[in-house]
Amino acid sequence: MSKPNIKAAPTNKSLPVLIEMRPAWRISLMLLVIDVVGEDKGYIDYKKLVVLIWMVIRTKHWPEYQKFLSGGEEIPFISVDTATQKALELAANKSFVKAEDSRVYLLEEGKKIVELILENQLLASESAFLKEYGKKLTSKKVDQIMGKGN
Amino acid sequence: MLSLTIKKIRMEVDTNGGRFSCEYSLNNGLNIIRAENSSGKSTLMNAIAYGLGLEAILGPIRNRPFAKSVYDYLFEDKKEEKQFYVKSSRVILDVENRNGHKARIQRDIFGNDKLAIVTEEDNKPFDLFFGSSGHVGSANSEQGYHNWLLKFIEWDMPLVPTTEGKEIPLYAECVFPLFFIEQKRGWSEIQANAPFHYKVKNLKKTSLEFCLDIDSFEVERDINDLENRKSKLENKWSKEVASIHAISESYTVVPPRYVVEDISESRSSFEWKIKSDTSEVSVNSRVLGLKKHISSLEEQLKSSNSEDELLLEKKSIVTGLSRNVDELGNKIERNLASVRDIENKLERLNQDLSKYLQLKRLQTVGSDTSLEFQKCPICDSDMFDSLADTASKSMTVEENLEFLKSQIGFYDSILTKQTKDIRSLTSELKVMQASHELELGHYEKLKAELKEVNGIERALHREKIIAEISLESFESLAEKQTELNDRLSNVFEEWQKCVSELKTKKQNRKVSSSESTLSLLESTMRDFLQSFGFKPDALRSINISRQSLRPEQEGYDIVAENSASDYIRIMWAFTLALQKVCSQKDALKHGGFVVFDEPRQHETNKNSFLGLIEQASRSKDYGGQVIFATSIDESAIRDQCESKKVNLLSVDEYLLKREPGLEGLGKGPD
Repeated sequence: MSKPNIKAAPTNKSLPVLIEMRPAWRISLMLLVIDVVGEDKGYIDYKKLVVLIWMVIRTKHWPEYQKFLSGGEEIPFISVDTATQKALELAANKSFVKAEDSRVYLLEEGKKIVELILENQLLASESAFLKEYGKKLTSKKVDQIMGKGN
Repeated sequence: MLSLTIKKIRMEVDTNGGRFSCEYSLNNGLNIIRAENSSGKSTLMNAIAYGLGLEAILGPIRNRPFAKSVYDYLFEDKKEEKQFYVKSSRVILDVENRNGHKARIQRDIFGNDKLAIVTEEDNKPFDLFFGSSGHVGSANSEQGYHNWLLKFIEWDMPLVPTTEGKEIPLYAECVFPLFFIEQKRGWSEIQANAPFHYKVKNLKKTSLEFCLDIDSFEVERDINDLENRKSKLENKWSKEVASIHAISESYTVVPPRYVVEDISESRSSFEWKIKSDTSEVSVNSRVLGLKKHISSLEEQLKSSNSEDELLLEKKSIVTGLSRNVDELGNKIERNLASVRDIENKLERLNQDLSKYLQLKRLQTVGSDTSLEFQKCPICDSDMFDSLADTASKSMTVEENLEFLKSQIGFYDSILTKQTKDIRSLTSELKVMQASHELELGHYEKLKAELKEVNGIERALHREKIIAEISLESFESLAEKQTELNDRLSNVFEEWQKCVSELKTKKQNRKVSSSESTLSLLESTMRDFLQSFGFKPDALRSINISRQSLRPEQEGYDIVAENSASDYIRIMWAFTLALQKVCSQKDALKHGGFVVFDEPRQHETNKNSFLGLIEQASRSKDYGGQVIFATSIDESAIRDQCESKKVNLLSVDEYLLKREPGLEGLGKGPD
């Protein structure tokens, strides 16, 4: 009896992607963060942007983040997320944003997307979270999260 | 067959200034009543439907389907401001059926509108009522107008099911919207004014089936009966199952797991189980066990037995039951934990689904601003739509949405099953706890009794009495079980038979439609469309739906999918094709005439409308009659009308004109 010939065959089947790993979704969040928190200035500090995107993605941890941003002492865990960096590069290349002097600026093309998001009432809970707590993320709090100051 | 021809229409309005009237003779073939807007064309067209007692086809809540000129006041001409007040008004129709029998129908518009005066040939006129007389409607009574009309046009109306599961005759008003297209709503879709208040099931299709003699009424009635029977059996079944569960609770036995309220998911018989300390036994085994136990107790009473042995036996039962209670409790805990996990998973999946739907919406509304990344904007190489470092192809947003939906469906079904399991385990636990408490009580009592004089005998007697009571109770439960199983299997068998009959009938329904009639209707409609200027490519995509029997384009409803010009031309073509096809077979039924009130010619080009005039005028060749009311300029159609011998009645003033005297129409039909 001959031995069965078993070979590993690569599959062409597409795999599902977590919503936060979709470039369009993360870029939309990024543009919303700059628009809501950056307000009239039209820009946001890069580190704040990274922290806020981390927070806004993790809806399950919002109570924890809200407590910290409202003056709580317990510092939430936040780590490096290379996907945000990639999304920033893609967004910059599409002229949605520009990065300069550790700031990220919202450009005209990016503003158009934010307008679409707001007009169509998309990302409504994320927008509400940012409006209420986004501005409470001070540079001091960012340092605390990064483990620099107490 | 074409059932009716309108030979003459006359309207009379008696006012304080004398009688106003108009009278038009109509021919087979095309008749065009041309007048400016607000001259009374629609009043005249509506009078045809009203005179025939079919005002229901003029649209919902049309109790007064006419203008003020027949109810309140009217003017002599368009320049006059003097009002003449209406005292009474009426419509008089001369009609002829397919055998050439003539009749005159006179009905008051303002006056006694519940009565029609009918004169057949040269006979004496007789009165017929509209609406209902007591409990009998005018379609069912010998004195009812609709009964007379149906006999006159030789229509035998079938009984059809209603949405409430009853049966009623198909009324003429349900069918005539196919032939009479009034101005206000009629052009919004084919059969726009079908009267839904009669609650006829699949009203539009049923009316077309009647016209096209696609006789599925018998089948539909049988299906309706079978569905009613099936639903009654399902109700009966769920009542029986509910009573089984109630009995289970009162006898503290485990309710049957596989006999459930939904008959389609159930088994047809059950066995009650009783949880003992070590196992689960059926009622019949329990009865046998108790009988053996009683004989053994009798034996023990005869011989002397050690007290310890009896006590040990009871203790082991109590310990076994206590272990079962703990095991069931743990099992429920494990299931509850799993349910919590699934609920969390579902929450996450639903959140993802909602976010994906938002992303999809964003991509749709933002089609001008590209948010898609198929090529890397930095290095221009192919890019998977993902920020993760992956070598695998990513699903598209649409695929991911479908994936999430299927995951939600999958976890939902697991959640349903586990929740069901927990319910069943909880009722088992209740039974087990009750048995444990009972046995523990017996054990405690036995222990106390054994300390007393003659304790062992008293204990054995007590045990025997308890066993005898228990035996009696389980014997009665076993009887109930047999009785209930008989009833369940009867209902189950009957239900299965019903389901299989229903399946066969539904299959028959699909094949019963008369393909040749539908093909003829389809080809005739396409011929008409071609002469209305439809291009051959577009023609091929227009069919008669075998499901709805109405026209469709590439499987879609014509209202939703076509341009206004296409859609109006399809309505013309379908309505005329229905008349032509029905003229060719005796078994097919058509009102005989077609009315187009303002046929929306402005939404098509001139040639299409001239094509319509030509085709409508040819209805004469097969004995049909077409009546248009239009405000189109006479010069635009005069040549076409003359060459096609169209009966063109052109009026520039009000249609209702003041008569010099008060004489009306003659006494009998022409």
